[in-house]
Amino acid sequence: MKLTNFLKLSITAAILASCGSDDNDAEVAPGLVPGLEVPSTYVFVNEEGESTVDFSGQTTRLRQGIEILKDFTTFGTTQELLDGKFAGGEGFIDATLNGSKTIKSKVAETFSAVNQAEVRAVFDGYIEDQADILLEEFANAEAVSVATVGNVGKLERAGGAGFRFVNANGLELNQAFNKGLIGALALDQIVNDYLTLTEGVAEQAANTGGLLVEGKTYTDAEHHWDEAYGYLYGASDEEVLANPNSRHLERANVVDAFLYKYLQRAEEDADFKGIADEVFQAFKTGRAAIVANDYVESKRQADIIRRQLSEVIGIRAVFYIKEGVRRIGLGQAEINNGNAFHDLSEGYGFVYSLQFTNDPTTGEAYFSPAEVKGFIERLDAENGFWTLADNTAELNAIADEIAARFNFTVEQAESLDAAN
Amino acid sequence: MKKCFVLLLIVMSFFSCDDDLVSNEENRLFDSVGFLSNVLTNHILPEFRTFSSDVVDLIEAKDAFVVDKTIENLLNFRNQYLVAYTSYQSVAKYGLGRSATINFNQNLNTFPFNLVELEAFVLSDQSKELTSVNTQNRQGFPAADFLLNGLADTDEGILAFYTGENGTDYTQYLSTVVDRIDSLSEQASNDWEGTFGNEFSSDSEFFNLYVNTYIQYFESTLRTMKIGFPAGVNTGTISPISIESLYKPEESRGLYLEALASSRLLYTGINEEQSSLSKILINLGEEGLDARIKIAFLEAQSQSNRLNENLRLQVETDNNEMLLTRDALQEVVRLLKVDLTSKLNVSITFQDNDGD
Repeated sequence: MKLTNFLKLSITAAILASCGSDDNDAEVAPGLVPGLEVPSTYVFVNEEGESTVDFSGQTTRLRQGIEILKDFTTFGTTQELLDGKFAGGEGFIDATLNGSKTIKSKVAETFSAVNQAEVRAVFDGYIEDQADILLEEFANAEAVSVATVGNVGKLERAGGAGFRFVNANGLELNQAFNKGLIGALALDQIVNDYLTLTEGVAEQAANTGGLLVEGKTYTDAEHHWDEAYGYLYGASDEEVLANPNSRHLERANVVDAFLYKYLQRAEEDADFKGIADEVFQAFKTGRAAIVANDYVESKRQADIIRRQLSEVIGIRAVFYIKEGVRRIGLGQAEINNGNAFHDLSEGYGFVYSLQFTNDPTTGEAYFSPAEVKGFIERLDAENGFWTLADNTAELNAIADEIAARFNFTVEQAESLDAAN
Repeated sequence: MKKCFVLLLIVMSFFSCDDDLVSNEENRLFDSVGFLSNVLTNHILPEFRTFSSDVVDLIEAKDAFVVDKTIENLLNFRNQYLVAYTSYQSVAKYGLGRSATINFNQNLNTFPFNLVELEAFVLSDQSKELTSVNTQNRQGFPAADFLLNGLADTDEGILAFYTGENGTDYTQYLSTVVDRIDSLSEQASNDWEGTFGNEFSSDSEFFNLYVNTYIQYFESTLRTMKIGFPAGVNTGTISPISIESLYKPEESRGLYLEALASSRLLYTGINEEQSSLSKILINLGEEGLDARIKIAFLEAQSQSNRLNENLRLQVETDNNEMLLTRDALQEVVRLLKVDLTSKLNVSITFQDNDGD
């Protein structure tokens, strides 16, 4: 791994050469780092040609999440089964998902022990409540009454497309669980845990010294970077794992239910078009920088990833809240058919996820756990969404407060302009 | 053009960082040799001497019990075990030199004690040797805890194991456990009293290693093993059986507090005259950081005092207090690992264990 003097010289020469033609102070295109060889896909191999990339643990957890989400709306599912999958890594129909890896052990992993326990209790609570008020309570959807203010129930979608099931506050707990995990699991693991681990002095020294993890083809720093990659792209079809955008950027081809799916959604909006490629380029460039022992560059790329993925959470939180407001404005039918509360439920989960973001300029989350708690209390107040349906000013205020912290406007996030 | 120049500087400074590390060590702004020699004289040697003498008493109590298996001798044995386990807490933070090569801490204090197929193990030759890596979790103080406190609910019941059908094997296992504590302690202690102690206290190269060992102990053993694991911080599921002193759980907090107090004393120093990490920071003009570290230690201590003496009970009844303790310890870890090391120009050379 150690840079040879020749390589050092050539990098220096490359910089000097590029300096000559840099009179205009032109911006270096993202991903184009002088002297750094960045592959066109996420493929990294050692001198023997063996792959040094591995993120199977992340793929496992994302798939576990997808199976748990199915159970969340399957009547007859017990709390015990859900707990077993979520906390114990056992009981999955796809047997390859059973084992020592669990989602719960990674939820809010970077939080203080007290805050972490609080977050985990929230997810445990979603499971318990969903089993209690719906899955263990009723045999099937037909047995559930229509939801009314303050009462658990179903909302029938238009055109016989099935039902949305909501708690007494009008909240779909499966949405809260799903969108909350995007922050508490995927985003937190990427921006606060694994990318940060690649910035450790010991990890970097081991990487520079070419010290491989015992029995593996990679160093710790390389592996941690790949694990970050895995929490975003790990659920992709196997043949495009190294180039996920080539297939999954089409809405119909999204297989992930977590962060990647909403990166794709942000990409669909003309205001944010290009974000998916920027993130992918940053992942490749940063990984190449680690191979080249260039930790200034890998940190720069990590910060791009932190900023962009954090922004995805902010964009989707604002988008869904504003969509909810828009549908409420269309009239009672949009509440009766579940559309309005469905959007608000997704927004609720993304709002919860805000506490796991990472603003690279401060190293802190865009919103602290206490601030997020404040938002959630406002969304839960009285009869929750039923109450907010008569007070959309409160929803608009929340959307404004969120957008104000980010580098986008409410208008950009809420607009449905299709990307060209 | 300016941008490129900066980039070039960055790259150049990166290339030369190997040389920087060397010169930093030579040009430290404080007397690291004086510090190390103080740590040896005022902390390591006295603490090891106390521990060694407690282990001698433990051996005597064991011998008395082996010769005459009475309740009285069992109680005396148990007392001596606790005395030695308590003074062990102080020497556990010096896992370098011979202590590292003989896996001193792994052999003396891997917990929880492994119970699987216990009887077969007691009857096997393995229990009479305990030198294999596979038996690290079947020896040391956790094994003594089980053999003296956990074999049965009553003292009579415990005694019966040593006088009953397989009494010879149980006695021999217990004897081997205690003898091995003695031999490992002697090796570690002799090393500090002799060659390694001399090297350590006269070579500034050890400053880095010493600070790393100290912080790693505080993070991995004190914070994670003693508090974090039982509180379920990693898994999200509490694990009451992961406490230290599982078979006499009412002693678990006492052992932990001993370790914390001793770690704190190592930071502050035993008196005003002696060098210490705290003194070094103050001399560097970092009184603010020193004060923050001292406050964090005090807060960790005061939060820990709120815990039930029985940590198992604490986890089972009100785990939040354990989590608060873990967070208070984490604050110390953060200050030591990030702030202190950057002021002292020490690179952290141990890695976070976090992968899958």
